[in-house]
Amino acid sequence: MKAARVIWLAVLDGLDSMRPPGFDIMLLVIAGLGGILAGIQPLSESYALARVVLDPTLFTAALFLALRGSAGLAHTVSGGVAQVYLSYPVSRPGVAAALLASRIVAPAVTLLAAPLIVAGTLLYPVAAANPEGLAIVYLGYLAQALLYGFTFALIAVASKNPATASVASITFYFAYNVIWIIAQALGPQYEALQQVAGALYYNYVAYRIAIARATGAPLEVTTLEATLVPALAAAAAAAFTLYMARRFEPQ
Amino acid sequence: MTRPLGARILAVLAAALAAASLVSAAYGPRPVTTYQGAVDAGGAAGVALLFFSISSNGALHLEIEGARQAFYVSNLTGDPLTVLRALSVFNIRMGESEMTHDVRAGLIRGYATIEAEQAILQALPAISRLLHFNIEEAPVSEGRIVIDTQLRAATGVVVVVVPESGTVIYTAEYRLEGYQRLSPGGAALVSGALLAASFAIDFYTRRTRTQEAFEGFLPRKHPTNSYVKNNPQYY
Repeated sequence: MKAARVIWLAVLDGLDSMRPPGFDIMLLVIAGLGGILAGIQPLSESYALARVVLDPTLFTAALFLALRGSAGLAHTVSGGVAQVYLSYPVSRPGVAAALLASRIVAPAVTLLAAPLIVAGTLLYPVAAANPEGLAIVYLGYLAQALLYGFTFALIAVASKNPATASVASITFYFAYNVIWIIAQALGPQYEALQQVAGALYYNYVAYRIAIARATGAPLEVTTLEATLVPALAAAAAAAFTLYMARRFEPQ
Repeated sequence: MTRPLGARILAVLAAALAAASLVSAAYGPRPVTTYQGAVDAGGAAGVALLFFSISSNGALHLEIEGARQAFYVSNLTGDPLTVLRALSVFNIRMGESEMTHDVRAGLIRGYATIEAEQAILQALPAISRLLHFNIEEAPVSEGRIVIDTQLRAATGVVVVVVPESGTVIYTAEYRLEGYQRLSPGGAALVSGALLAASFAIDFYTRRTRTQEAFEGFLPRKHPTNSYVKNNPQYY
């Protein structure tokens, strides 16, 4: 019964976060252009297909999560809708879980899946030959998007202001990317930084895993590479839930 | 009234698939691509020709004219310029170079002039063993070399040609293998099915405006008891 209420709250808020026309326009453009991108080049491996399609999509999905996810969440707080949510007979961790599901997980899953479904249907022999590779790369990109999204959500409830939330979220996204460039540049001098740089993008780690599984080549993935991004995403989600449960005061 | 999320997503997928299918029917990959070109070596000792497959599998048929001697390394993985960079240790340097990305063939192709001592170029097969890749010498007959090789995704071939006179002429034919795509008719069929499913969801979840105005977000099948009691006219 409790779970049903949490799901109901997630659906209610999800109808707002994925509302037309913004969500539909973005979905149409990324699915159409993703399909075209895969259609104009001779892709013969499913993991390469997934990477070609999802590389530009991840950026767009991150922007959607920063604007509709993070800023939208801050808007529910500043607009008083969060108070209504919290007045439902659902525990605070339950509300937090519902908001993460509706604002971050559902849009990220849909936005990343749509272009892959179109490209996979168009190039069905490639996708059907190695669906596992497609799934591994998709999950890698999804983990990366969720890391951004969960951090954005934390920023949103902490700032409680839509404009601040969107600016701070996009700044975090920028900083994450530049930190990778810096770590990469200093990598040759500092072994630890090189290892961190290799682990910051889970999508490329997943891509390497998919290649190794498809070709039978030895898998060269360090423990840090396999765990850093999922651990950061889990930490951000846990911090969001803890904040909502113990510290959050709607205005 | 807002259409249901599932119906909207299916309609978007249908439109995107139709658009992607149309564009790739017009601008999709070519099954066979032919390149012809001439490289002026100038005063350089050699010319390197490079064909690197980004994403496709296929057969490469390469014919080179005007060569005195040729070395090649096939099944090269990683960065296609790695070989040339590694060779700089032996004072074999890359001069003028040009790379072109042919998206529709899935190939990066290009050339570079090689500046080195003739004697060192002769020793390329021996040097390559030190660098953990295998450079082989290609048989040359009357200045002509023919190389047939298979390219897999993310592998390439580099041919180093010692020119007879100043210019090296090459013809390359790249034939895609194992590539298949949904036909435009099939795509139209799938798109139509998705669109039909979208309309079906829309139709079967549709509620009248009066119902929606009174119920708001409440689902029709599970109204609260008090709501039914107070609004018997809708049930």
